[in-house]
Amino acid sequence: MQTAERTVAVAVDQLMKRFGDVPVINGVSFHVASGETLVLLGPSGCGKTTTLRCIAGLENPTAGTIRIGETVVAGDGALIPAHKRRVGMVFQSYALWPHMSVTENIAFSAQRQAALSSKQARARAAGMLDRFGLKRLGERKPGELSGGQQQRVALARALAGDPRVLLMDEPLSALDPQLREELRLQLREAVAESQLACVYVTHDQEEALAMADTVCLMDAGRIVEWGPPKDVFEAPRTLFAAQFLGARNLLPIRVGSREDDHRWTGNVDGTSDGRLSFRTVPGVEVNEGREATAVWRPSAARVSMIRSDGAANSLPAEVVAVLYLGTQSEVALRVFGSNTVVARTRLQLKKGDTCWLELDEVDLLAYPKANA
Amino acid sequence: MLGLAEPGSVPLALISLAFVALIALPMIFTVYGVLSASPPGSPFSGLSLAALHSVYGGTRYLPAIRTSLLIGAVTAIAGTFIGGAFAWLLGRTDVPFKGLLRLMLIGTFGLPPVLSTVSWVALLAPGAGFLNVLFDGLFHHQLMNIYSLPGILLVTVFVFSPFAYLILAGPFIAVSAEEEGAASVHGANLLRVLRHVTLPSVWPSLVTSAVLLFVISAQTFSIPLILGEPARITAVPEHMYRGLISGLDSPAETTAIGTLLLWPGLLAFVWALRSSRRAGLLPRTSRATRGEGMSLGRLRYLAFALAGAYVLVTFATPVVALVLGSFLKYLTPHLSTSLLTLGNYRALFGQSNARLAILNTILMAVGGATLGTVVSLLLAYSISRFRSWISTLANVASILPLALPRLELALGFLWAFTALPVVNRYSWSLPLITLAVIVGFMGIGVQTLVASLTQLSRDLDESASTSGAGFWTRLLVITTPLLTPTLVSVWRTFFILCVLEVDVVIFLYQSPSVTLSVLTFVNLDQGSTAMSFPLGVAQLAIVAAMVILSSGVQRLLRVRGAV
Repeated sequence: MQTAERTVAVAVDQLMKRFGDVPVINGVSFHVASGETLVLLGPSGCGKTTTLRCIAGLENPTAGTIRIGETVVAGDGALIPAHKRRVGMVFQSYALWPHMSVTENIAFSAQRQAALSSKQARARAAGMLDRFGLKRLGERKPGELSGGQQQRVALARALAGDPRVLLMDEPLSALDPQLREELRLQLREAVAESQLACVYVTHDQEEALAMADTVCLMDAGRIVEWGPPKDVFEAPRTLFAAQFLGARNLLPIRVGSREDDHRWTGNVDGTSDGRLSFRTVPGVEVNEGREATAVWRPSAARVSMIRSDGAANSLPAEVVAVLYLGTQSEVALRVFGSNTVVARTRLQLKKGDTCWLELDEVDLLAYPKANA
Repeated sequence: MLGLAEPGSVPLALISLAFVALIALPMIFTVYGVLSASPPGSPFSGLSLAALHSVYGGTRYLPAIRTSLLIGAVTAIAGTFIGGAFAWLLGRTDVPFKGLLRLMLIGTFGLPPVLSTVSWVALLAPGAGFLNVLFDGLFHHQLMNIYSLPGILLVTVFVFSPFAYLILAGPFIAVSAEEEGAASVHGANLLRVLRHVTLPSVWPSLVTSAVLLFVISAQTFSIPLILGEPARITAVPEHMYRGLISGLDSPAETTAIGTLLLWPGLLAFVWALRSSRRAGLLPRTSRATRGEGMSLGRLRYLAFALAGAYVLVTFATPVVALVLGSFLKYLTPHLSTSLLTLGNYRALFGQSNARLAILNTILMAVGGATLGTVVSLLLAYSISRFRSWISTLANVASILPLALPRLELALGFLWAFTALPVVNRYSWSLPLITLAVIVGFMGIGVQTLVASLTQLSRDLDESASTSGAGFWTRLLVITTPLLTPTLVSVWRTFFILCVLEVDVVIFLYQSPSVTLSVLTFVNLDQGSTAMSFPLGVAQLAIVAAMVILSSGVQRLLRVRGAV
């Protein structure tokens, strides 16, 4: 991975972790600079939380090194325990201590980690409460707070100890969707304001894109894709990344001819009339005359009752199921025999209707079959 | 998972190893004792297989083994059934007056077994027991002769059933209400839900309860000793006690007799482990959620009547008999006010020995409960948070003494204290006895706290760690307050066990370390029942005061999220 030009606050190099014989992290490396947020994104069991826990000192790596600032905290014969690493961490469950008040929760971290006196720690906690709009809740116990308030207390506690790095393990996953969107903004602002390096773990691609300066997509203990959110989202280099980032629709194709560097034509595999125009992202090659997989996001496709003249790709389709979603419907469509794909539309369709599925060339990405 | 690099893991590992050594000590000396040709404290004069040959080579002990195994088996089955029925009724159904039933059932656990036995003698002694005289007047025949094998079994089951309830109450409460509800909505009636969902969910705990009851009741010696002697029924522990007290058997033979019950105990534990492992393969699909419990409909009043009658018979009746007996000039079923006296209490408190016994009992109970709770907490923390071979060893070591016959454990300590005169066995006898008692019961404290720590989210501990708290801060500021209710409960259990313990103490006590339980037993054994009743009331009063006090503390300290 590229090293940021700013001061590197966290550096993970060739990190490996095994639980017994099972490898959970397999050679993960990345750097995070001060003021930068790196998001570890991936499905359950891909190793993202274990990576975060290794940085925090809650798991001991099997191999590799972890630096926080200039200090090697794990590897090269060093193993600094969690409480001496000066990290702030927001847990998925928030992990607020139920027997302590909100103020005591926040002051605990200020007192232990920032080595403040009891009085100073309480003053720091009061400041944090003010900053996060929790001023009147200081004497309450965590059980008396809403989910959103608990989340903010957890963040305040993580920041109260003057950490060198902020770690967040799916901090929004326990909240309802509306509150999640609100708090996403607040989190982003708080992290930017603190100018801390932040490592953020989530399985939600939308949350990852919103929070990240750099996204690292993980699969089976490895980083398979990384880069700025826009690049990763718009030009995923693997079929796995494309699928994980929302390209749910797959169609087997046979590659025809190359139009230019990244533009191609071809056919739906096994047909002669399903002509397609698609693109490949830089670094991904398909071969003329060979099988490949075309993918696209449901939101990228249009459904129409009559074939449009200017569409790059028009596929005849039959509606097999309709899910009403309010402002629009999600329809499952059968295209070219047994291929079922999904699209969103405002049209009032019902099972058995025939229609056209239209896609712009730029939205249809192809990957070689081996990559699948 | 916090690694061994974590500061605090080293002191914990050392404490665990010291504990393992403390468990190993009496076991090693038990083996030494069986093979030693000379009595404890005498110069070593070689090893001999004579004791083993004497015990295992003939049929002399077969009737006693049969009796002990029968007591163990019947108590295991009946006790687990009764304890389980109460755990189900109080934990999973809408039976009324749950608090009252629970209090009276647990109250039975607080009754000294020796005194429970005596109060049943007062109720069912042939020709003289209150109930027998009453039945004779009404139906012209007596209810039961308590001096018989059925009498022994009845009292043993009554005494040990509450212990099964204490083991099973938590698991029954933890059964998923969703799983039971799922069975109900798919057409299962109450019995089918119980048979196909509830009981399979608590099967490992039922097995544990049965095994513990089997081991503990087969090893108990006070009940068969008091009730069996007139009918010439003997159990294995009685042979040990008589052998050692009378001096007729050599100490090596007495120790060898104790090993007779070790094998069935170990077999039972192995069976429990295998059974639990098999049950662990059952798929658990949903997280346990506590619901309102199953409705018994109109049967709830019948259930209450049955349960109420049981606790009246097992708790209220012996307590009344005990208290009443303590105010009588002599034990008789023909009561009159002229028989009432405070003389028993005056005599009791007039004896310096009795005053010393009360003081020693309180000291042993408070000291033992505190030491036991602290060590249990440290071991449980080590077992649940640091998964190393040392903590695994400590885990096994904490359970092992439960499989050992209590008298055998006491003999092991006796051999060890005599052979290793680190401290004066006479002047340090009270701390040494306390240590021996606590070691024997440590498994209960450790396993209870391990279960609570498992329920306590690991995140709470880890978030303290990432907030800069070291090991001891986390243990004292985060974990301990959250475990307060369980810690109070464990402390109370150790306290009660220390007050009531007689099996271990009887072999190890010296005159400066006499306790109420020993004094009660000695008085009974010597036929002085008048004095044993106020002694029993004194034990009961100490236990009751502590139960009330600790429940108050528990309510006061209860915090959100605590387990």
